[in-house]
Amino acid sequence: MSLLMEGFSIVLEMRLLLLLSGAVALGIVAGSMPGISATMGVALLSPLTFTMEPLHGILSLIGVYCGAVYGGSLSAILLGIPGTPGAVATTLDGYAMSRQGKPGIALGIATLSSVLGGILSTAALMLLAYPIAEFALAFGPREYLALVVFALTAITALSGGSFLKGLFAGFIGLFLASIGIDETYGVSRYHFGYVMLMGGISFIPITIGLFAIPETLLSIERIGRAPRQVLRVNRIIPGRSVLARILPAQLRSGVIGTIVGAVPGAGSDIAAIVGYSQGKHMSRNPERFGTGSAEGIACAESANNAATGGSLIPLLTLGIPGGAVTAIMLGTFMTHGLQPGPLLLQSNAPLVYQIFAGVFIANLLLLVFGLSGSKLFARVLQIPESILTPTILLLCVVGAFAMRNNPVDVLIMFAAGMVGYIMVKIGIPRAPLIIGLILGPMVEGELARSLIVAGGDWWALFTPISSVIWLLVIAPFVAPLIMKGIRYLKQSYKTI
Amino acid sequence: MKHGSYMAALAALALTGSLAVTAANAESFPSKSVELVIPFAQGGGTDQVGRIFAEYAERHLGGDIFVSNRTGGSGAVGFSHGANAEADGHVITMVVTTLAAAPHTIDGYPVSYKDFEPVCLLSAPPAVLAVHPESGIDSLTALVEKAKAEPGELTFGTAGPGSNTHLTGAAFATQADIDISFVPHKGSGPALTAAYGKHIDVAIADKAEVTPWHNDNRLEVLTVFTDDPKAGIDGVPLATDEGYSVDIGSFRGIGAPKGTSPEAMEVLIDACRSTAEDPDFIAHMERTGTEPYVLFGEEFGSWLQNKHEAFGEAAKAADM
Repeated sequence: MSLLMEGFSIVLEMRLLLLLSGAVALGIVAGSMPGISATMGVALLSPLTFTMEPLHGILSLIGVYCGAVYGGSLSAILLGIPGTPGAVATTLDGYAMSRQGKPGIALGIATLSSVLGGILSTAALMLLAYPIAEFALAFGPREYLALVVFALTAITALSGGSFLKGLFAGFIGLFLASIGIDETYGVSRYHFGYVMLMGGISFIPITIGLFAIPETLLSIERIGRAPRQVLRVNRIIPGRSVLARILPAQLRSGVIGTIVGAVPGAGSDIAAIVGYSQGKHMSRNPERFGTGSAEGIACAESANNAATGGSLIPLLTLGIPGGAVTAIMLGTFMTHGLQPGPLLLQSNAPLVYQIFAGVFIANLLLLVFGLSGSKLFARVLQIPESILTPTILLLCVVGAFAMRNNPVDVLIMFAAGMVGYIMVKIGIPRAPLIIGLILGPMVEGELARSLIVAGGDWWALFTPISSVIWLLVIAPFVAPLIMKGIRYLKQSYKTI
Repeated sequence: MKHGSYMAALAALALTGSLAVTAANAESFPSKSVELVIPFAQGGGTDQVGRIFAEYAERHLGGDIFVSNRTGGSGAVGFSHGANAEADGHVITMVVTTLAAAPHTIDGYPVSYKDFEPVCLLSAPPAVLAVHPESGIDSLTALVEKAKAEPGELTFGTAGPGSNTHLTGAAFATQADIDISFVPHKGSGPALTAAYGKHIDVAIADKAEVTPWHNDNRLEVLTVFTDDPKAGIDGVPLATDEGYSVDIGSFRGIGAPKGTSPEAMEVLIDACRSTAEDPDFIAHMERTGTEPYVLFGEEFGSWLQNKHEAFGEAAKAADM
């Protein structure tokens, strides 16, 4: 404990605190821009940390990481455009609430949930890192397959009113995901000889196009009609009853996000999807999800920020980077001659506790920036549409291009935009398409790996952990049937 | 007459002018920022080496270097961009393992080493076989025996179909006459994690990537696929000593578009040489687990050609 106290006293030193604040702020800005993901923000910053002291360099990256995952929710809520893939679920309820004239409350809920999720995962990092890391290590292809299929069932939760339309959108996503060279046998599919398509379709330009372009087209449609109401942001903190209602959702999603984040290969996007769909299944008001539900925002935001702390667990304790962001961090550690892993706590205990303290403070900084900045962020909505719309378009083009420096991605973005516009007009939900696109290759890859390790035996796919997850997968579908059956039996028992 | 001499003077002026311009161009390379194309995503091993190189090479090139990740198509997007860029030296490309492997394993792969002028090789870590310390397999001989006793049962994690780790495994299996199952992963990192989590029996990875795992005994390296003892790992037998000759490790170097002027090539090679000799660069590379292994210009070119052929042989062994 004294090591932790010492850690805090070092991190709270003015120079380091300023650096961390700057990193968090930079992350928020990067995350709120569609196309600039947490990975890209951290990758761009990493060379600058080469010359810093180890702690300073590592905490800068952690600050950007936490900030970017949170920042993704800002554009999701205010503009209906997820800034990062992890904010797709936030878009549904956050943007709806914002359109109902409560952008401040939506931002407030997102901020409080992000911070709570982040702090929960930091606490897990400090107290339970080793057991959680051992658990995460038990995730092989079979367990991961079950987890990804579990996330895929979120299509039901993200479909809004019509499950069939959602399923249709999900299948479009799965089809798009199958374009390119497959990762198991290297077979190439549906690229018609175009090199640009060989690498597959990246989901960032699709996400930007699908969500941003329809908004700009709809705003053009509004030109000359009733002037847009000018929103005044008075309240940020939701009422006490709302806070009490969303707290269980925040805590549950925080736990889900921490564990999903700790599983190698899964990140804040899958965490948010799983958190949101579990939230809907467990909620007393599932019908409000997708229409501006406070719980919906809480579930998605708590989970995606909890995944940041979760992903540091295998990195620090086992030396295993769970995803792209932690892989860059691993590189930064090694640049400074530090090898994350079981020996790091023995050889560099003070540093480890300083990092713990830093992650905690980074999350508190999200609270400070989020609450003090929300009114400022929401001013975006007061910008006249004649300026805002072209600005968004420009940001979309830049974001789509910047992902891979590939002009074709801009074309893909616009094509997705046209499709998105049609989907909005005929009422097909867009989020399931993104889910299919993100999860499609993972499902395929993990299934192939699972079957290879299991020697082709489908029954061997059911390991103890994966079986539990498979039960969770089928529970929402089977539970109502069982309930019906029980009710039927009770009825017939009474009549006898 | 007067008119003629005027024209001649003008022509002479134009000629010397254009000559002066060419000379100035040659002398002033780089005349603008140099783009370093990385055909793979941010955060990967190639990205890491590329960014470290850019950081130190800037000092020696005397001009800005900016890194651009042009990803997709198993490197095809980035390599094609770099190969088709204007051949004035302002666009250089990370020329890595995939460029030697993919032309043999992917139908219609649009580029190969022939599309680049070789600038320099930066690193060339050999491939290794690693197992969990509790796997009960403690030597290459034990591994081969186990594979012969249980044909098709041993699982070998690779960095994906057609990667050098997959091809190394296939070449080794052919020479050892064993039947093993390949489990493709998204890169060597996840394959090492899977071996550590005991989800697969053996991971094939680059020496650079496996060193930290080996050093703190999370994984045990059984063999290093090289015939150069200097490139080995202390206390680990070389595959050549046990009768296997597989030499298709990974590599990372720098290339310029085919037809880049000799002047610009000279500047690039000189900058690369000074960078490779820069103690700060060497120390930085070594801290990330990568030992520099450096060749320049034509020497790198013929090395690259040999690699291309070796990968072709291995791809045949892997039946790709």
